[in-house]
Amino acid sequence: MTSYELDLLLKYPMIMQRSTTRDEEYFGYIKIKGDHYKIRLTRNMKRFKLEMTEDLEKYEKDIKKLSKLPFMDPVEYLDKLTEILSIELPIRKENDEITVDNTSIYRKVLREYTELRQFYFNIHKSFISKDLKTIDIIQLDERMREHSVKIEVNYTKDGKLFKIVECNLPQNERESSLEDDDSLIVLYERFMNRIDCPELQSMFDLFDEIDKFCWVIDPEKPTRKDLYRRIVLDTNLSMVIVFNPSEIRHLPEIKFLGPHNAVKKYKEIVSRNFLNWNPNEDVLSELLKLLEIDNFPSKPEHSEGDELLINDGECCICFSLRLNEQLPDIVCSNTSCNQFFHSQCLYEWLRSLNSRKFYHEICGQCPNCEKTIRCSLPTTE
Amino acid sequence: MQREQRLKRELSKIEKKPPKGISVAPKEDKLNILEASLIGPENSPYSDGLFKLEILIPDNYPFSPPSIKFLTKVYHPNIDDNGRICLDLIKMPPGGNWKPTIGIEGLLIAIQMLLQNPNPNDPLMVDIAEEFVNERKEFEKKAKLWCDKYARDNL
Repeated sequence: MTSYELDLLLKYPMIMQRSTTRDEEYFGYIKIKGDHYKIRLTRNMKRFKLEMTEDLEKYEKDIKKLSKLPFMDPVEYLDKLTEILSIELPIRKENDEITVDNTSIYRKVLREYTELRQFYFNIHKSFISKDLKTIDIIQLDERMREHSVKIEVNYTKDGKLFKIVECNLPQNERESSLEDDDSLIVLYERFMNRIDCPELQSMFDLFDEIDKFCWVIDPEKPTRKDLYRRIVLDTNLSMVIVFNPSEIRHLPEIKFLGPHNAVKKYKEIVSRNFLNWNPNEDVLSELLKLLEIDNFPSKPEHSEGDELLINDGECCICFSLRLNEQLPDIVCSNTSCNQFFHSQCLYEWLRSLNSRKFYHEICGQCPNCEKTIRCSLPTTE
Repeated sequence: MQREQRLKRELSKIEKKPPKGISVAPKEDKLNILEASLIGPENSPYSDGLFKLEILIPDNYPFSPPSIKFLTKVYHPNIDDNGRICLDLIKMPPGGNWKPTIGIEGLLIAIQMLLQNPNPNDPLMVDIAEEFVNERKEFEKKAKLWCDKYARDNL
């Protein structure tokens, strides 16, 4: 620490120092007669230059004089500046915009949070981040379904104090304007009112039923936000249904994915039946009637390995363990790759790229990591 | 030899756990032609469209890439009138970037990404590529129009 730095810290704690290749910069706030002034001061050797701001404009003449004088260090300059401004400045009333420090907001946030916890003592789970910037609340509905909401605290001067930034509910454009407030309790109650609304509850019921009775392949882990499901109907044939949250009992939007003939068949069936859709009946049984099927295929119980394209130790060219009774016999020497190959597979790939051959070896790039890999030539060649 | 083992494995994986918005199945039980459908990616002019593709598996697969083309018309800098796709992954090195480790699922995901992020630097349709670069709004309007016209399959 040079001699003035400690002085600067003690006298002007809100001034920060920053060095660039050309000069040094001091910026932040200084306090004169109870008011804070924004300061950006640059130093080149013994010359100091103060950036003009609206607040300081009136004193431009005096400040210009300062820039012509030599100063030993920024403390000296700031002392002189304070002296000049103190004489010139009238005592102004406290300026809230600048003098507000976050302490009072932190206090309010903590108070709001504590009140919420005390008032709604049955909240399932809630957390407030250490920096007091986000609040997570998880609450259960009547059917013990979890719903989560993430609230961000706004420390800027504009806007409401609390804002819902993430919420595990379908987006509703009409209500998006209601997602911030100065009171945490009000925001929380609004969130709970939405969850408890009968339309949403019957939608959750429906999706729970679909997820229970159908083989849903997308979304992989459905959340309350997802309004669609991709359901398996047959081998390679699936159906994407998209529901409209405000008309949950109506015929959903349907798309079939699969082989042409199977899709054609189902489209014909649906076009025959869709006029008979009855919004007063159970949605799932209406879907079965629409498709003329008795039940949806249920998710088969299969081992995890079946769902992977390639398992550990299998050849990453033929995606198999055994090829002509041979096990993979080459491992890529790059330790972060370590992929397995049958020499037959690797040889055929490298040969198709016209890779270089040396005596009994062929040399090229590993098809996985592109590092050099070698493979002996088959004995027949 | 490798071809049958590979295809069996790839198709069974896709059947059990198809990638998001993608389906693949053998065409009429032939194993050298597959039919695929792809749902247009969100946040793109193709969003929500249903695109059909045809995949031909060569005899020496996976040492040569499958050939893939769109059966549905698409307005896109890298897809031509006949549905041919300009994508380095479906071309053999040194010109292309096919590798036997990629697979059908990987290619379809790459094509889905190509729909979302056209590559105007390697265009198949020069006019569309120019429009994509210089008049993005106009491009998006047309791509959406074609999508509505050719790739709508809703009931």
